[in-house]
Amino acid sequence: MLLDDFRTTTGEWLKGDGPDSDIVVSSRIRLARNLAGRRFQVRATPEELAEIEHEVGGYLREREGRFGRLYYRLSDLGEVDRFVLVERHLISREHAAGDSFRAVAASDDERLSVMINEEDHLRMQVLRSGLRLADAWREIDELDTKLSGTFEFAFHPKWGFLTACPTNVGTGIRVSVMLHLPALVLTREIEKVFRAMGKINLAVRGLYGEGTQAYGDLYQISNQTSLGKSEDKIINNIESIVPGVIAYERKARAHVLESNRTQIEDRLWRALGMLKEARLLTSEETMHLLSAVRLGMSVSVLPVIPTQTINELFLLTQPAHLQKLVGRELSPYERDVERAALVRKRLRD
Amino acid sequence: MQCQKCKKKQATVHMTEISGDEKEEIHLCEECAQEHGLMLKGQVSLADFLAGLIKAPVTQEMARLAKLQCPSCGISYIEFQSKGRFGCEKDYEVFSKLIAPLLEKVHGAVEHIGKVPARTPGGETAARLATLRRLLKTAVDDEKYEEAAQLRDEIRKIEGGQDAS
Repeated sequence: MLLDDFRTTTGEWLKGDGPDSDIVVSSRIRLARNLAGRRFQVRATPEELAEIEHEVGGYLREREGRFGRLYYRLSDLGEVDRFVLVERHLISREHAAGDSFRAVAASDDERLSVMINEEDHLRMQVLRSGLRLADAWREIDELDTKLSGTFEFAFHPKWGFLTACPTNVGTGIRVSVMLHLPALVLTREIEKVFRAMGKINLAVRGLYGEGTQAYGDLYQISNQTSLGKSEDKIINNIESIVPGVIAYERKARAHVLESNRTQIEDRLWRALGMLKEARLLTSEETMHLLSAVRLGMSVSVLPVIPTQTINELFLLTQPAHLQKLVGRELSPYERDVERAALVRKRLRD
Repeated sequence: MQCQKCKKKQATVHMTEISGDEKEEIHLCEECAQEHGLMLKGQVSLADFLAGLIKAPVTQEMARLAKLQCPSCGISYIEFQSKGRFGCEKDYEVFSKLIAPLLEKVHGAVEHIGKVPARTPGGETAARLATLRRLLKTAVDDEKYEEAAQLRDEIRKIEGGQDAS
């Protein structure tokens, strides 16, 4: 297995700092770009894809110092390693499952990353802890401007940046904010958030993106359209609605504590107790319990554990990371044993 | 404003009837307007009538377009529809007639407003167009219609020049 560095480090986005980080886990912006004059991924020949990987990868590694160390061709990686990258939000599931000449470059702190030969030739992203969309945009905009001075991107005066899927055309931007909303789930108010977001053309999804259930009460709010509005407008739109959702979650937290204090306290303490003592933990149960503990700390019911520790456990207890930490492939049962051991150890330290 | 007929509901249908020199303003709620035969029924049948007229040629045109193949990547519109992904940037031009309504449906817009790459294919014109569109959007948002009209004319002029070239 490669990627041994990832055993001891986690991305900067899991630090648990930044504005409103008790509710906003992370802010993410990605831009989709294609090289002019080259066929898109689905139609390109292996030679063309190899050329793109060579050119873009070469530039990122050699000319952009920050991508010098973390650069991987997916064909060099086994399944566990590919999924380590998925769990770290450095690549998509589609990228992990795809075939030749796909690659990823990331900065050492994993704030910036670029997928090469995903659905589009380039998918660059910035990922930050807390609610920091303006900072995130500044960073990704700068990288994009630099790259667009070196490579000619497919661009149409009327339709903007041209992408493989027409849902990304125009700005090629997807802005998303990951929120921890346990009290809205508990009070079943989350449905209202879903409906409200739908009305203003924003999408709400579970933690690992499309098609997955929301484990650990982690939800991602993102824009659905990319054409006809400037990047600033799209970012401002999300930035302006997030405080409302945060306030709603805080209100729900206060409400559940007021109306059922003992029951809630019991639930939160039990969650911490289970995590500290259990001998077998499935991935889903762990997410669920960690979510309760995260809530327990933020409403001052449970003693303070650094948010970073909890955020990191969300990541390190995922199947691929767990196997990485132990250093071999594990059966689901072995994973549950190792997961419980890891959580016990981390919470005791 | 109250409905003139039932005097209960809010009037949402407003019309001016002119017969000879007489001018009469009528304000009705939706229900009374329907009863009056002013709304919906008539419009729907007219729409159906029009749809019947244009349906055949549209389908034929669509069928012709759907068979089109991109000379650069070889993808046909049918293939695009089944995969949901284009094969190359040229597809946007080749299938432009089919794509415009699709983009309208997906994004509620058909024109890019926002960033322009440092190296723009089509050079300064493309950059100028993107800037003008952004200004136009702002002007419309701010209800500065005179300015908006001027910008719209300028955009049309540049776009016209492009088509000719």
